[in-house]
Amino acid sequence: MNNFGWDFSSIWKNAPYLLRGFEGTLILAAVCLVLGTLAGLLLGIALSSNRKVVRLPAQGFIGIFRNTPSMVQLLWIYYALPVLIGMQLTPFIAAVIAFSLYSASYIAGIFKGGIASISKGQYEAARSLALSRWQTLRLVVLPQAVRKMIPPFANQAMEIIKLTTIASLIAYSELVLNTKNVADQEFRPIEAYTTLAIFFSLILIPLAYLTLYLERRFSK
Amino acid sequence: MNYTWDFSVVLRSSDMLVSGLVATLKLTATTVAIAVPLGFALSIVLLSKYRFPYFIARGFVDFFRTSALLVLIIWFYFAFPILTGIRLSSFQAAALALGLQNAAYLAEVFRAGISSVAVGQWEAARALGLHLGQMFWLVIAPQALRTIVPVLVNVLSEIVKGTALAAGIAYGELAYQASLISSTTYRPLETYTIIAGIYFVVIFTLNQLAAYLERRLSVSGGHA
Repeated sequence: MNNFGWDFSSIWKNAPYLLRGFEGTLILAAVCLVLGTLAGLLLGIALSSNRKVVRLPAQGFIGIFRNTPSMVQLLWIYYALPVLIGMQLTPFIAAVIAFSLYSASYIAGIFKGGIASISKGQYEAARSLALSRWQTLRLVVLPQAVRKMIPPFANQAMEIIKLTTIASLIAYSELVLNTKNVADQEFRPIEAYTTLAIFFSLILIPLAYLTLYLERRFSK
Repeated sequence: MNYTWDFSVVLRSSDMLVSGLVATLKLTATTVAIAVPLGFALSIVLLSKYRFPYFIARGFVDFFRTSALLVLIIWFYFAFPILTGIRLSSFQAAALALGLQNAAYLAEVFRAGISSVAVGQWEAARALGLHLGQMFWLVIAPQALRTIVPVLVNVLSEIVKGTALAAGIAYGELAYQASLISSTTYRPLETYTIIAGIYFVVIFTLNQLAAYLERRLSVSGGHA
């Protein structure tokens, strides 16, 4: 063990800059969560469809996004997609597209599972009330399915927060990138990166236990 | 957009693609070699009744499970060497970060798998006069493996995905080779498409295998 003297003054000095980075993390995570949920809902409904024309494209899309690293998807969207569409994307937009679609491919499974968990009798009852297919989904199926979806959904939200760290690799200003800048500028990598690691744990460990609690509560 | 795809330029660098794939697989294998034994040891501690070791293991698992992988990789590469005086190559730092995080995931997988075996199996094994080691390895483990193996293959595919982050500290795996190839050929579209394709083949194969094993080994489906 070296005689290393910890000195966190460089972190305190740069706290406002680091907090701006955290703000970047939260904004990216929030946007991806909202867009990923919307896209995941559409995909989940498509997956639950009886018609192959609807189901197969959704399965193909999910297959691609689940079976490649999110990091490679991000690099593809940031470096390769602009060649096809003839327009440069900002790091933020590229990260939003990549992480929303990646999360959507998992959230779709949550919606599909939630929809599948509703018993057949519910559909028959809705039908006997003369509800349309869309009304059945919106008024009968989804409200019941949501209960079962909350725990895996909370889990996915944590995964999205972790995902945002990858955006630092295309220079989107979030907590990891700003920490790296502070570490380089102050020559204090240990304090900077240790603070970063602990900071993430302080947010994510309580979230993990909240998920566990929700799981127990809603499984009844 | 009238873009003409040209893969030939990229395929001329196929030696870099191959060495990238080899590096990816090497990092994956090293991660497995760290994560499986450590994850197993942790799961035993999590299942034990000893309070102090339990809390240590629980803390370890919770910390590494909830950490962002990139943050761990960066910490082991930039902070760990100064703290301990042990210099790590980018390969070693990435392997440690991936190994410890996946050990934490696997600890939960093993713990759940072992506790999924009915209590009566332990009692029956004891009634046969087996000692603890025999009870575990001859009776419990073979049954627990039915639930563990499919998840294990799934985790393996997640590890392959995770290795791509080692590009962040310039370890020469696939994603890093892609950035080199694309900056020399000016063909990012073809380069990243090929790279994504290679990852897809590896990860898709593993996930199909996991799904097959799950069907094959499930207690209701197989011949129990």
